[in-house]
Amino acid sequence: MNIITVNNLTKSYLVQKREQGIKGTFQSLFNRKHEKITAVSNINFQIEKGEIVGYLGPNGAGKSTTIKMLSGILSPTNGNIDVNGLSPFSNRKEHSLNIGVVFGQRTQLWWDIPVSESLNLMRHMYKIPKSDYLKRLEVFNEFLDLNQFINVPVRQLSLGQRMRADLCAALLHQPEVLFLDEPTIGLDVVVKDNIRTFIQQINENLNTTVILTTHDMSDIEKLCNRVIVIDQGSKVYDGTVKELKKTYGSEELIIVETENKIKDYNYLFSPGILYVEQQNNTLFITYNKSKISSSVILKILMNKEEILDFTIKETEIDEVIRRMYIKSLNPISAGGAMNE
Amino acid sequence: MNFIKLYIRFIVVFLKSKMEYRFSFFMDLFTNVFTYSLLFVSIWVILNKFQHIQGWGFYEVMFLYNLNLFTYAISGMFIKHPMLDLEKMVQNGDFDSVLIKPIDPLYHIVVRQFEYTFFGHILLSIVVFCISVPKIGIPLNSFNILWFALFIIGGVLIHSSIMIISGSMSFWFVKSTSILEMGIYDIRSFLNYPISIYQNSIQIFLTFVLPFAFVNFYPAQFFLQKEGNDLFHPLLQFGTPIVGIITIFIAYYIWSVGVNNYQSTGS
Ligand SMILES: Nc1ncnc2c1ncn2[C@@H]1O[C@H](COP(=O)(O)OP(=O)(O)O)[C@@H](O)[C@H]1O
Ligand SMILES: [Mg+2]
Repeated sequence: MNIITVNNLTKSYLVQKREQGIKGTFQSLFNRKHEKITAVSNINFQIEKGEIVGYLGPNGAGKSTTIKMLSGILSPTNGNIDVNGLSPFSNRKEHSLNIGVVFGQRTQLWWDIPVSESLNLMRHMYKIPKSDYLKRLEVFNEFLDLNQFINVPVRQLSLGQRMRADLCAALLHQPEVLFLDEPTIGLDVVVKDNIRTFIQQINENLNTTVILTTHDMSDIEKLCNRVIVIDQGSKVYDGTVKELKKTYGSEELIIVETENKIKDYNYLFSPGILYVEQQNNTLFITYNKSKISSSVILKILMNKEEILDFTIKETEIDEVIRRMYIKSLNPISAGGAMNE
Repeated sequence: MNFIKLYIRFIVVFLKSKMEYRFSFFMDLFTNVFTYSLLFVSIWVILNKFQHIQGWGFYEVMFLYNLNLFTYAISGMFIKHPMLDLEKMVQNGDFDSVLIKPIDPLYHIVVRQFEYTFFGHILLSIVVFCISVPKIGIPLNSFNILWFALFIIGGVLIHSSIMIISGSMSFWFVKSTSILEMGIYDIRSFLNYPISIYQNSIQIFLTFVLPFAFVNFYPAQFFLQKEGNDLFHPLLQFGTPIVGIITIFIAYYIWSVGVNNYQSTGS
């Protein structure tokens, strides 16, 4: 069953053109020039109940604009949206009961008052029975350690604590759909992991549908089966994460620290190895994951050198998307475009 | 009823957060009472020099002035700061969070705060009513009390409407509200004296364009029946409640169009 249906969705912003200098300012007072920016252009997709979908794209691609239309903040310029049987913009009030929204860049909590008071006000806004409210807080506490900072005013919270508090506030009324716009931006690894586990739990236990935007590959890998990629407002990919990586990003980088500088590393080249670079005692080996594995590479190396340390870097999702974009522009040079 | 309950919850939380800075809380209150007391003293000084302005005596002008102050303070307590804040919220995109809540956006931004400093004005103007009403000799019968209440409600609605309209301009123009507020402040100062002393164009403006005259001049005329002060039509002295209802509807309409015009911000 589809809980979200988006048809031919388009959003253009009218931006005032600013003229330079006093004369320009004066002119623009009487003759305002507008420029049209199309942030989202003719997008279609459906999302099933209970899915967790990653909504990806480079900066300025139109991700936040889409989320804002899905949550009823902005009206579409064209096309229509159906979330749980409602049109978000025209049924804003009813729609708000079905959704939870978190913007990583700003809080929805009250700046000057303790988290507990904010949540309590939310309880009254959403008319949540007290017993349910307390039960939910307990769950939040279990996963997000809410009690640790529940009596602290929001302005005194660390970014990680604020993010966790915002998540609680968005989920207090147990919405059908959760929109997360860069929920892990700027957080440390522990908090990121915490939040991912929590989102997963909510999804499993309550069958909450989740759409999230992120630049963090691990968010996607841990949480999503499906990703939608947009670029310059248009959808360029819609499918599984696996497929995306198989098609566009099967490369990995292994960084090996050796005891001595290697004079000649040509012996390393075998099928699957793309390129090798050396800086002092560190080797950077890029290889195709589907042709050769990291353990094979390490074995070859260990036969000849003393290895001190190594790390494996997966391709970042941004990199995957960038490559994808280059490929779609210029399919022939796709292989050689890695260094940009 | 539910929405009043929610409002009280919000106010309690808000005041609690303000009381954290107890000293500044009481200083604010004190400064407000002080400035307005000075204003009354200055009016008293001026009026004592001239005895009366075109047939309006000291207590009558005080009563007139006070009708404006009292209704303005009530509107100010609820509407003024939310509207000034709206300007910032629209500019930095914080208005987003208001639009994803299950309560009306206007109601939401109004209940989130409460300008307690206006308590100073309100207290002062109650005192001034208690002094001026007996001096003028307005009989305290139920008919007068009923009309007085209607005038106060109408006046509050007129002030609130103008604040809401000026606030809604932020949806279209950057930094408009603070500029408009300055202009409106100047216009409102015409209300310190009976508008019958001004030239015709100002009377027309304050009656039919920005209907501030219904806040104090026409209600005062209702009670005082000053010779030669029936401007335009004698029925206007009953107009305040109706004008209040009409302006609040216009204001809410403009506000709604503004909300639908909201573009958020890119970040
Ligand atoms: N409120 C706005 N007014 C004008 N332009 C905007 C607004 N919001 C976003 N944009 C523009 O629309 C494009 C898409 O922005 P956005 O949806 O925020 O992208 P993303 O979230 O993917 O980074 C960008 O070019 C951005 O500058
Ligand atoms: Mg964004």
